[in-house]
Amino acid sequence: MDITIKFSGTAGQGIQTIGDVLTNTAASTGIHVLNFRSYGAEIRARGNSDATVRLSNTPVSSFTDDIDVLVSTQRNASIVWASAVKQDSIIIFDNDPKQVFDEKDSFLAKLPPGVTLCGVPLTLFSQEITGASKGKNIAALGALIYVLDIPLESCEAEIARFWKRKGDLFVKNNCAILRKAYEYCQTEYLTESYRKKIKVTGKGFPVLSGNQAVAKGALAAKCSIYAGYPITPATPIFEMLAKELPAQKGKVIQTEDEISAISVVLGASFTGARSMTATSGPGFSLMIEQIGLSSMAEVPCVIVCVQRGGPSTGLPTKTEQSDLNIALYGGHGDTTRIILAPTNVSECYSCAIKAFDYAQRYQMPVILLSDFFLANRRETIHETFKKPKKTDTLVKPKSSTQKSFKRFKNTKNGISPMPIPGTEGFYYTTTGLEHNESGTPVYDPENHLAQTDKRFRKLKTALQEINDAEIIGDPKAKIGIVSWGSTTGAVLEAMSLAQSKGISIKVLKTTVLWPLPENSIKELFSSVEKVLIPEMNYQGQLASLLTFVEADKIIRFNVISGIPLTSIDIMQQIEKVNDVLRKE
Amino acid sequence: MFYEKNKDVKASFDTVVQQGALNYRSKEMPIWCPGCGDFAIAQALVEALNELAIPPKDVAIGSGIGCSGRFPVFIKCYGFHGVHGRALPLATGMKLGNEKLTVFAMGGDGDGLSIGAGHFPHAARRNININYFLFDNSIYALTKGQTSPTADTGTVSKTTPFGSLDNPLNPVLLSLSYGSTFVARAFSGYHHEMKNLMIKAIQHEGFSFLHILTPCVVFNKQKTYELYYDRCKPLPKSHKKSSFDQAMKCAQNQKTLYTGVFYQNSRAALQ
Repeated sequence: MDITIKFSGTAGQGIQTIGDVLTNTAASTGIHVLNFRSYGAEIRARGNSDATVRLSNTPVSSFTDDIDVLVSTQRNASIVWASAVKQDSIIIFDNDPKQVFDEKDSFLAKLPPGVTLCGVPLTLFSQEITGASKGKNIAALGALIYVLDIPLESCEAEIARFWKRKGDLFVKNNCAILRKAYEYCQTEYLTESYRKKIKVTGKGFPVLSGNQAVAKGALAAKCSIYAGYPITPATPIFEMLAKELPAQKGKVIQTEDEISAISVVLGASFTGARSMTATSGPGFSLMIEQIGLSSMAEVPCVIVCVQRGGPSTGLPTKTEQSDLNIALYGGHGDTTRIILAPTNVSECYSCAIKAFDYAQRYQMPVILLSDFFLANRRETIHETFKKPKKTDTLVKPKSSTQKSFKRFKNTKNGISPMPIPGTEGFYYTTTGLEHNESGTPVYDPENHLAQTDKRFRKLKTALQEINDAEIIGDPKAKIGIVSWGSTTGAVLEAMSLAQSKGISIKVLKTTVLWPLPENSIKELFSSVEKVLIPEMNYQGQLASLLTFVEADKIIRFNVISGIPLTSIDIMQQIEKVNDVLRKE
Repeated sequence: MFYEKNKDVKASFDTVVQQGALNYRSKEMPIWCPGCGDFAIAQALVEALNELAIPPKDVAIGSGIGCSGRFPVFIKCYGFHGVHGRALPLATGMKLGNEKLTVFAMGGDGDGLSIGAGHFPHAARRNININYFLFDNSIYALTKGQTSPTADTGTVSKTTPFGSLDNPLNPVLLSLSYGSTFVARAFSGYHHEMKNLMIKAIQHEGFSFLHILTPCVVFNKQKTYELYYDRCKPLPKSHKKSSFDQAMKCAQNQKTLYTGVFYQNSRAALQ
């Protein structure tokens, strides 16, 4: 079973909360869950609030356009979703007062014919138990778990856990509202048309957001310094590390601005401490000067950029993949950098660990590109997170090399051993000025070329050591897709959809965007007739980067709706490409 | 040959070597212009480090851009010559990364009071246990003579050919109001006093701010050694460094530029 539930109401009604409680309840019973919140940038918006939860008995990594169950706590707010529901959808709504059925502008009047109406006196139940109407979201949840056939006890257990801090009475009241709505449905809505049952397997999964997974990765990698400046949607990484870093003797500092944050990271990395900062587009723009410094001075640096709609302040609470260009090209001069882009929540964890490993090993900035969708969605995790074996990947000089020590020695693989302060005898000053092997600032052309060569040689070394590009799907396919970041979930699901419709696809998947896995890209391009590149940006930033291969094969699919791409969106494009190929 | 003929020179050279401060100098030759006050600052720092017996391996210097930015290159230490204005956050990171280090932030008046001015109050209010030496020559000297945030109103420079309109900043006054727990001023022409103030700054647990007046003999014809010899005077004997009010009052005196420790107090320091 695969069910998508849309929660809809106004901000402040606890829409996100019941989305979360359902997510946790479902995950605890072994259902695969994907949960995405969307809300306005305002703290308590007058506007609408909605959440989407997809439940499935197989792993899920994107959304479809379908709404199987619409849960409405505010009839006006749900009008926007009325046209999106299907004929066999179930609508849970507040049916008290009853006359709403006659209201012409009610969202009920706008629903397509044939939908199953599951009205429950949500406000009344809340008032009966608590004397206030605030619990109507819980009543809606009670009706929903009846529809889904999720055990009432599992949900009650989650409520007890979720609101433990609020005290016993609060939990007891919420459970009573939940049960009341559940039992009401049991007597009122007996037939199977009121049910969309999902199989409960029993063994639960943990649930994590992309931001939480990044923070967990940082903790596992033994990050010891976090410097940050609050910014949506990256702040939860900061908040989680602020709570959890001190327990492993790490330190967290809230700096005066993003330039300071990344400068602190460089200063701390210089002493050998694993350190990081996380930000979003506007902050990332400010950090660029230090990316150049990190590259030139060869000091490790980990930056997480959780992308949001841009440019400028842009759309703080909408998802976009439009910071690839700044990640690739931000800064003056010829700068080295590594760019990682996880495609799901689990990879947020593994990429965070890799970011620290690579920053230290290659002594350069590592940019981890997440995005609002990845960062804010909560998803069930199916594999166990592995702890890294090494938490220090800095190549340090051997004490026997003290006499001949040169900090920026032009080595074969480009990596020069880096001593850390506190080490006897290996004194040096690193600098953002061009320098010779010893670190002394010099400007002669031969040296500038040799040192630039050396810095870029590290990227060649890195490409050999860290490349994880893979081509998935039918080897004989004539349509290829290159996808990056959170869009990849929808692409992979679309690949299966296409297969079921008889269209073969192959997908190039990589979390390392720079250094570019050129061989895999050339391999894909040469084996297919068209390459679809779906991206949540206007310019087609990855597509533009790949025009060096066979530009005429590229078909761009650029969306800047702020709403995550679905497998249906991708499928439509695949069908279009397929039509073009057939006509040719 | 030279030493055989000039035995007294040899003797005094031997004394200097024995004193050990030279061990704190790197092999790099300073690039400053002859007569620059920065030479004296470097010499005072190596002497201070030597007196305190802090091993070079535990000395970390973060610097910005400007004539002062090159400072760590000439000292035997672990140095990080960063970009313009970021000496303080860089040094903050160094101290957070390894609290055993004796950490310095070095930068000029342009570096610390213009482009990097936003970092100054926060380093002070955090009371991070680092030493911030502000080299004040009241001119952008590395870029060959433009007006700076501490230049007097009316200063004629290459970017203010008709005289600067802006009021100068007062670094000591700023530092006091930002909540620094150690605020002092030195003049690079008074070597021993400067060295002793450096020692006090290093010994202070918390954010130590040392304002150093250091003339630029090439580009600044207004803030000269003569002017500072004339106007720099030690703080009055009656000055109590525990009194914030007295410190504020002395800092406001523009005619007499007091040197010495204006203010010192203790507050929990960030490591």
